[in-house]
Amino acid sequence: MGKDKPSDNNKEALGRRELLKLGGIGLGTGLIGNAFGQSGQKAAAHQQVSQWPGAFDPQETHPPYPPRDRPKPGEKIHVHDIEVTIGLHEIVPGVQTHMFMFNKSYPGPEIRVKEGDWVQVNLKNTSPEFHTIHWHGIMVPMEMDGVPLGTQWPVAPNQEFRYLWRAQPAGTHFYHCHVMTTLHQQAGLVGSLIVEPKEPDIVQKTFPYKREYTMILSELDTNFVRNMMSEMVEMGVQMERMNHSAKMMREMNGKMMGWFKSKEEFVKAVKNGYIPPYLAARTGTAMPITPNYFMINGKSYPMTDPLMIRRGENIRVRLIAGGFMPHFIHLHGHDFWHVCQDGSPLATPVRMNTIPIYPGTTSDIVIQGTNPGFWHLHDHSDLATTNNGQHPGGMMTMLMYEDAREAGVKWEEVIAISS
Amino acid sequence: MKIQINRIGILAAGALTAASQAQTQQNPVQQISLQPQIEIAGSGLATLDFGREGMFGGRGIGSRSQINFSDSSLSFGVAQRMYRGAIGSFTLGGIAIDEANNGHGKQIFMHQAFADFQELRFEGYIGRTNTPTAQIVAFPTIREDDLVDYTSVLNPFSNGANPEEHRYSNVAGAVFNSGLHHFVNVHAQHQIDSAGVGQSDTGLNSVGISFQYEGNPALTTIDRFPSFGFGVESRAVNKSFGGTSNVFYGGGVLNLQPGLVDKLDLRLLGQVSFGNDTNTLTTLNDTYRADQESIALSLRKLYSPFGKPASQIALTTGMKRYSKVPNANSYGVALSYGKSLGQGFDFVSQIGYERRSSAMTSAFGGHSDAMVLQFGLSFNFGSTFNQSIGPRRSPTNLLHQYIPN
Repeated sequence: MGKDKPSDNNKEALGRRELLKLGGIGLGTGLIGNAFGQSGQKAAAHQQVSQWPGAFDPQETHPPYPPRDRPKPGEKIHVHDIEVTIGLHEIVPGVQTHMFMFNKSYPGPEIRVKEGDWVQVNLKNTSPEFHTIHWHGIMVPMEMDGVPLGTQWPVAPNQEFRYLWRAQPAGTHFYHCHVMTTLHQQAGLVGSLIVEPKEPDIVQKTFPYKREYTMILSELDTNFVRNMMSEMVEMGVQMERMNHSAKMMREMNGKMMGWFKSKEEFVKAVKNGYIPPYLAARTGTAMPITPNYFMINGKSYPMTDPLMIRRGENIRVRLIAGGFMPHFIHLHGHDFWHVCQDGSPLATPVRMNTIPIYPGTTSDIVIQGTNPGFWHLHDHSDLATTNNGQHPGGMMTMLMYEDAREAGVKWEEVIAISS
Repeated sequence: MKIQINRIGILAAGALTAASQAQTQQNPVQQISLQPQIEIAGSGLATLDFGREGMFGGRGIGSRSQINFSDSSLSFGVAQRMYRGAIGSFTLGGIAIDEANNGHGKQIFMHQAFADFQELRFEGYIGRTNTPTAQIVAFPTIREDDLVDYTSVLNPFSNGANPEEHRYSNVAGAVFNSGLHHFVNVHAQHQIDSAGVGQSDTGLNSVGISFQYEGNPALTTIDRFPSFGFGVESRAVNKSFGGTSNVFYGGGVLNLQPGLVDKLDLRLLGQVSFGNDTNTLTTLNDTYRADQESIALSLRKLYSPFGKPASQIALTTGMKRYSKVPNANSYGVALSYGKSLGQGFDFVSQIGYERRSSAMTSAFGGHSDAMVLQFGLSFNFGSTFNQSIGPRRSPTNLLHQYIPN
């Protein structure tokens, strides 16, 4: 796959000691195998304990390219400008909410690059809050990882930050703000990041497809977002004003923001009167987050976009868990193939009709046009198929056959009867 | 005294709960079960008072010391989004009053019972609530009616037994705004006529218009002028009690030392009333309707380490003179201190002194001066249930596009 990838002979050269060292990891891997690999499971049952399924390569998680490389003269760099603002987003008609936005859209613009390409993202922050971008699943150099106060200073209002990294590994990934993630990601700062493989795509080879869809799954507590955004905006407005007063610049230091260099400094501040937010929430109350809208690409049913297919066609669907809740996506009338997890192809595709998507993960599935009609695709955790508690709504869309009529589906009659 | 700045704002109603429907007449438009946003806000305030002698507007005349829980209040509000983006609400609340002279001690005064309709540019409200004249500036004394002779536009119809009558009335108001910063309030009132000096008992006895500027709530401690306003009110006092009493009033807050940690602000309210011919002050009501000029000033130091209010000390003074009553003037001063012991929970203390000229003493039971020392605790809280609506003037709504949620 990548130029630094070790040869297949390496795995054969692994000694017994190395295999034993991997035993702990192997337990977890085995569980995943149980969940996702039916044929692998059967094969494992007939093999010795010290042996792994044939496709296993212990160095497969190594970055294809050294992450700390710099672009060499002549290498192409894809440049993306991303601006963070605050705007209004309509989830369904009549329900608007203030959101943080990448380039005035929610979700943010999809970034799609080839594996091994250099990517430069110029982040411009014109909102009153701090932001970063974390490249979720990408093997970036540490300084580009977007963790505020961990790997970089957060990007302040009216500041810019330039991210530069190499697109690796291939697969379905996403990006999100990592500042106060509970709010910022929920309040809109998330987007898809697709790294197309440099080598021929195994999914494309196995299931030739022309159309693909990306579905970012997320949820929102409109009360939490409203209250916390208001608090954050308030603080941002104060900080902007602080810039014009030396006295306030001294007053509004990192400690006021809850930033401490060490545990000792934090403990000392508490003794000196600092009240941690868990004792006195900025909003006055610390209510648990209770999402009331569940979205696919920022929209709740019936405003979600359908997936279009024709008989005999394969479509690839990239599912991205861009929120904080697990979802269980079920397709009516079909089985589908789970082909990739967190960007990487599975050892073998797995046949399913309901796929769990846990926060932070991505799953690619291939749907085959085998049963013409109009089919529901939805989260089977039924709370997520509501809008503000009312069903139907939420994380629901349709798989629609464009040639259903030709296949004899008399959908007009169904609608007429239903109506 | 409320050290915590972000006191909950009761939004109020729009629709009645099933329980209240059972007790009141049927909703004339639609009768369905609703789940509106519910807000409960309260203020518990209890002090041990020493040496009261007709202090603060005549309240408690004759009592030398007492356990005082006046100004404690509990309000209940329900609010709901309307069909096309507006918000409807209803608020109901009562406040403990200090009516020591009636022999029954403490009583509850209904200070809130109003319906409100608001959208981006307009708000209309009807019912019992804060009199519009009391909304220009609030002073940091322990109780909002401390030094009421100077810090409030007085109700010329009150007999003085209940100082809440200066702060609350029956109002029908229409408020127009520009950018949710500039507000013009046109209103008619029935101010409570406990003295019986009005044209009628229940009719509209006061009309007025006021202008108010409110800055971004995020910058309350930073803006030099976070709020100010002025207005005029015409009160229909019966001719046999001196005739109409009109008043011009204006005031605001000036941040002398803006800051997030150390803040020093100055509050000011000035008023001139005219048109009434009362020329002797023999009752408390005389002192409310007679032509007068007064000014109230308050200097407050607020200390908020790490951005959270922890303590404040305030010096509030007021002066007054009566233009048609010879040798009638008074002044008062209060030094107030509060320290936060927890969110919304404060220790409070205050020492107050008030001095009146000889022409006023008969109205105050013969007392020319009074002094009170107070210690106590206060707890201000607000809780929201079934939340679906946010503050109309949130920083997000003010700085970005307004949405009625």
